[in-house]
Amino acid sequence: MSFTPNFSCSQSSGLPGTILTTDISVGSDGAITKRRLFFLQADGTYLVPSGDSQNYIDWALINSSISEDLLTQDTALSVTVQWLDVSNTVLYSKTIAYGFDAFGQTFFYGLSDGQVPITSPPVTLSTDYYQNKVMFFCYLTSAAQAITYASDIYKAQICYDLDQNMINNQSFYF
Amino acid sequence: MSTPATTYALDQISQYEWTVDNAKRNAFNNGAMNINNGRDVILMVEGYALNYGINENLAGIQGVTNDVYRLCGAMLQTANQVLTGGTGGGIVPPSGGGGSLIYFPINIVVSSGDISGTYTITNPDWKGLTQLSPSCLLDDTPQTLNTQYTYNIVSGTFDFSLITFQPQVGTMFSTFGFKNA
Repeated sequence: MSFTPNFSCSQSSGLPGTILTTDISVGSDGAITKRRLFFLQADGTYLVPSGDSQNYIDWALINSSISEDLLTQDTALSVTVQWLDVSNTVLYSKTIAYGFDAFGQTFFYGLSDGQVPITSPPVTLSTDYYQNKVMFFCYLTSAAQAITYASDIYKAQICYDLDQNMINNQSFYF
Repeated sequence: MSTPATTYALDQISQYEWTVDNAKRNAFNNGAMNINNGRDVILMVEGYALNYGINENLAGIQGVTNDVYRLCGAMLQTANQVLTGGTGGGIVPPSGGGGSLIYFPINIVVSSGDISGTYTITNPDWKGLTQLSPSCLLDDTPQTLNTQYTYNIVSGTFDFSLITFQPQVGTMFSTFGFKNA
C-alpha cells in the first residue's frame, strides 16, 4: 500500500508550553522503522528537550502522537517529520510551518476577562489601554498571516516577540 | 485593479510586512515614530471589513477594495510577490555551501487507474531554486530535464507528461538535485 506522509501539531491554552504532534499519514510502508521530529526555530537552531544533544526528537512508531513541553513564549517553528528505514535513510519527509501562540491568545483573553488588574486607571491610561490592546491583537494576527501566506517563521517570530515585549512590560502597556 | 478576494490576501500579507517593517524602523530610530506607524492596525481593521463585504456580497465592495489596495502602500510589491511566487523566505532549503548540489528525495505515488503522462508533483520547498541537476533518477531510471520531464521553478512543480513508459502502481522513490542561486 502506498504511504502519504502527513502530521499535525496543536497547542492548548491550559498547557501553552506543550506541543502535541500527531501522525496522520495515510497508508503504510513496511520499510519504515523509525521516525524523527524536528522543531526548527527562526534563529536557525533546533528546539529539543533540555539535555538532548541531537537536534531531533526520536518518535517511536508505536505512538501515534507525541507531546513535548518545549515553549516558554509564543514561537514560530518549522516542524519536520522524517520517516526512515533501518539504515537511517530518509524515506519520507514533510515540513509544515506553525505559529504556536497560546501564550499570547491566553494573555489577550485575560485582558478582556479582567485577569490583568488595573487599579483606578486614569482616563489617559484607559485610552492607551485599548490602543495597546489593538496593537497586541494586530501582532498576533500578523504572525498568523506570515505563517498562513508565506510559511515565514522569521517574520512571524518578530511579531511574536513584539507581543512578548508587551507581556513582559504589561504594567506599562495595560 | 485586483479583485476583492485578491486584495484581501494582499491586505493580510501587507499587514504583517508593515508590522515587521515598523518594528525594524523603530529599532533603528530609537523608537521614533514614522508616518507608517499603525498602518498594520489600519490594514487589520479595514481587511476585516473587506472580508465581511466579500462574504456578504455587499454593495460598494469595489470602493472598499480600492481603499484597502491603496492602504497596502509600499508593501504591495512584496505582497504580490508572496501571493504569486510562494513563500517569503521563512523556510529556506539548506544552502549546502557555495551553491553545491542539494538532493531531495521525493516519492511519486501511482494509483490504480493512473496513466502515463498525467501526473505532476509539487513541493513548496522547491520554489525559487534556480538550477537543477541535468537529470534525475525516477524509479532507478535516469530522466533528463526538458526531455522526459519539465520543471516549473515558480510553482515548484515537476511535470512528467513527457515520460512514455507506463509506471507501475505503487510508490516510486526518486532523488532530484537542486542548486541554490
